[in-house]
Amino acid sequence: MIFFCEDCGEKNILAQTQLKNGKAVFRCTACHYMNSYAYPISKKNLKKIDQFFKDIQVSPEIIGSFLFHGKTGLLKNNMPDMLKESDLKVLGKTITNNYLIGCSQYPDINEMTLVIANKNMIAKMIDSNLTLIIVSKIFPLSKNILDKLDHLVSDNTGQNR
Amino acid sequence: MATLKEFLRISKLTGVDQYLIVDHTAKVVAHDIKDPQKLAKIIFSCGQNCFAIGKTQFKYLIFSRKNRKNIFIFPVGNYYLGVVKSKTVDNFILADNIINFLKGLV
Repeated sequence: MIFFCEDCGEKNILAQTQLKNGKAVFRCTACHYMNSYAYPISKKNLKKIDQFFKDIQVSPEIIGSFLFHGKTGLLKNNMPDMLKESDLKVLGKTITNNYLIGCSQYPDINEMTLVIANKNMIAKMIDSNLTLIIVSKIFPLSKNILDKLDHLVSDNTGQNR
Repeated sequence: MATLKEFLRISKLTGVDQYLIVDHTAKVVAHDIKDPQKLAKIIFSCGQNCFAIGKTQFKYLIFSRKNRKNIFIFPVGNYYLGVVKSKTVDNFILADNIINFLKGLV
């Protein structure tokens, strides 16, 4: 993939190993500046997430799902209309913050579930800024959905459950 | 109101590996953990965040870990209870056990 140096603007070609946790980390080949910045999720991966949301929405246990970006806010919204976008932003921010607080002390955390009333919100971080949230009537999710979720997350991060 | 002695029976519940309770000022009230401060930070911060959005409807929060020693946070009045699950017990069994235990204390 091609990334541009933040200092001199030089074009740098990076290997997959230089992309970690949603960040491009590399020393510029021209000016030797050490770059480390978050890169946006690719359209291809966004399409995969979109398809995943459509696939799981047909299951009766699923209320909805959404994708939250720590800096840009709501990226995908597959939640019922009664929830305002502003509510989802607050929810997404709180869930993401909690996930990051947990990971700061226990880096092996790979999933978070918040239970409010009879709603189960299952969150997975795709990278350091991106959280995928599924709202379900039951917990745990069915094996079929869990397998699809694991497949999606490992495709994006290279991590396994 | 339950006494602390009654509450400490929590360590005997099936699925409870370790526990910790913090008050509304983040002070650790009781625990059976080697490094309580590490867990106390999470229990207090995340407990407060979840209560802020869920109010009295907030039931619990689970952090799932690769080693399966998942961390649970429950609101208990003005306190937050943190529980580290035993590897061999399912999440929903532990959650049910704790919720029933807490109901029994009231």
